[in-house]
Amino acid sequence: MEQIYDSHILLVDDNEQLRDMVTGILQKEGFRHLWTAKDCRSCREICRKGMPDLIVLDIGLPDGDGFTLLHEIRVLSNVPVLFLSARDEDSDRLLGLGLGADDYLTKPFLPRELVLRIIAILKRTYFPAGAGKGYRQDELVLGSRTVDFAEGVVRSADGSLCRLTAKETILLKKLWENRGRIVTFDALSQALWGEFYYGYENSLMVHIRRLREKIEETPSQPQYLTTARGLGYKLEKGQ
Amino acid sequence: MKSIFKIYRRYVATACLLVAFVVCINLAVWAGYACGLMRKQEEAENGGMPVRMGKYHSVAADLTQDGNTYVLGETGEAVLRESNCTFLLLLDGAGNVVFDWQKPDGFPDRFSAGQIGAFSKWYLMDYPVAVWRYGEEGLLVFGYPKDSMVRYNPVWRKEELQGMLQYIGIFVQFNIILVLALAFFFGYQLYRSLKPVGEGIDALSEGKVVLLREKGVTQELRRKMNQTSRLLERQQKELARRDTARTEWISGVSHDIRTPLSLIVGYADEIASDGEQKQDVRQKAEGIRTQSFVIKKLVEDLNLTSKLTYRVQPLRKQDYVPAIWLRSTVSGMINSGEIPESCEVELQTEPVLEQQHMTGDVQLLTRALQNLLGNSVRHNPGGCRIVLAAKEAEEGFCFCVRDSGKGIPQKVREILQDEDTIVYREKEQGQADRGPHVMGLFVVKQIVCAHGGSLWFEEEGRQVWVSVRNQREEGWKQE
Repeated sequence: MEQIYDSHILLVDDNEQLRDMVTGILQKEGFRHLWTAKDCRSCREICRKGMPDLIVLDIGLPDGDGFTLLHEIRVLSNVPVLFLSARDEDSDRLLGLGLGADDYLTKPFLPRELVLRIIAILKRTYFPAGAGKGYRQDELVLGSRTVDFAEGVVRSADGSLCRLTAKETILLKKLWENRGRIVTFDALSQALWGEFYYGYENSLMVHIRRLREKIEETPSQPQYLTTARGLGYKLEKGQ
Repeated sequence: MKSIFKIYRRYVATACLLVAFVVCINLAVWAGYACGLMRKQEEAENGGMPVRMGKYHSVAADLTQDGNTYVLGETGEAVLRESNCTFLLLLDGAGNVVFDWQKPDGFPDRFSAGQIGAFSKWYLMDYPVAVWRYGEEGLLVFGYPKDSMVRYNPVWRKEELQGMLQYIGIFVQFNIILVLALAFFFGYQLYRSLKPVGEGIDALSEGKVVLLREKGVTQELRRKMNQTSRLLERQQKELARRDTARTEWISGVSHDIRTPLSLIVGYADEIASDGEQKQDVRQKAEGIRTQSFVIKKLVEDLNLTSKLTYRVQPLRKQDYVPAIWLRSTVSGMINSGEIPESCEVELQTEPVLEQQHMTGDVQLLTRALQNLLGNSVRHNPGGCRIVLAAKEAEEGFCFCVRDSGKGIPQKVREILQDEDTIVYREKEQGQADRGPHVMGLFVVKQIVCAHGGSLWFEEEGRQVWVSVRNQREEGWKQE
């Protein structure tokens, strides 16, 4: 498999129309190898013939439940599994993830969200170094500056380097993992200082200020590392 | 059971009052009767003597001696007839009958001192008689018809008579005490017998099963109580079964509707993001997609409110810090797009909430806050400013959601502030005005109540306040 879109994806759901719709969405996205199964028996048969690269699995199936099926699959393979279920109870979600599923999405879902989650799982599992579509996991481009996490530096367009401290690297990575989303003060502080972070709020602000000096063109008017008032910080999605 | 003891107390008090009342009535009747007698006596007195004695005096006065013979005047005879006298004898100092009026046959002409002494106290040949002194030595004997009078001549020793007056008082007191003691005793017996019945009623009111031994004076009552308990138990089971069926049905619908909704959302999204489609078609598809998520939210709320109403959803307690929880929830909503960019959210928390450790069902509380913030967003489609302020409160904390919109309508506030409304329901079928739909906010109220808190409004519905109590040592609060 050279590209993400070469992945073999198996969709297991008892609703034919839903299978058709999801297949159509994934085909539109560029996935070419799509298999479908309407029950546990057909899923087992397909897996015996050849294990797919990812399984999108429903929980309520006519001849069994997805949890048991996942348990059986795990005996044979570590293939990534995404649960796509109508069950929205936290207990079901926790059970599914606890059994080793890679993700859990409840119905109804936005097709785009399903596609993004599938891509994320495939990237994480089969392209850890950032293969495919020029993806690099250790590099963050912010306007004219590039953050190289492997080296722990920020490169400017003029070639100058600015070194990141360990705390700044952790902070930036945390924000990068949640890019486009607000990360609360608490989540950031916990990433930096662990569970007992109370009292470090001012230190967090100092680290953020220093980070802005390194990644922003105008630190007093940040474009990338913005503040969500009273909540936390957000690394804006790049262009 | 306290009420049974109260009944016992009242029973004894009533017995005391009854005794007092009867004694008073008796005294009053006797006093009245005695007064009546005395008045009658006074009215009838003649010459300072009682009626009967007056008559004897009149007869004696009208009996005159003429030589050796005595003559009874017409007046004396009239008095004798009037007095229903049968006969009249006059005895001299030796006991000889010196005058008689209608002397019965067989009467001797002379009476010995012993005979005189006997009949003066008892009877003269079965005739009740009365004697009256006549002159120096004479004795008038008035006879009355047989069986017309009863003669009784009690003789009391003076000490005994004086003691008797004291004994009467003691006797009355003893009787009163005896009556009261009996009232206490029988009352206590009744109380003992009723006590299990009272405890049974208590248990029934708490929804417990009652099984009493069917014996004693309250046997019938106990049997009925056991019957009622069995009936209530059956009804409770039936209600629980119905509630469970209803909750499971709603839960099933909530589950089953998701797959069709997925198809609607999926195809609508496909059309909405298809550049080849016309703009208005894409907008309509966008509308279908958005409304599908509204349906999803409504069904989720319906499912949750049903579970909370029928207590199928227990509190899954976990520790949390209010300020962190508030930040996390608001951030999550902004990140997921539930709070759009057109809405500005400002979070104000007191520093003390950064360290306050609370226990509660964080997922349910998050749902409550999501519903409140979502309400502000939904009713201000053009965007608004939302302020979420939190402060410390007794046994917990409270927070307020305030937005720049027009606030929650009066009708909705009235429904939510009604303390008795803990079950979500629309107005009865057939009524023209079905009332406002408040399920989202109703779920908030249920969750808050489950956490021992409350929901209230300020500034005409522009501020919604919620208090949350620490659930560290408390269980389910909803009644």
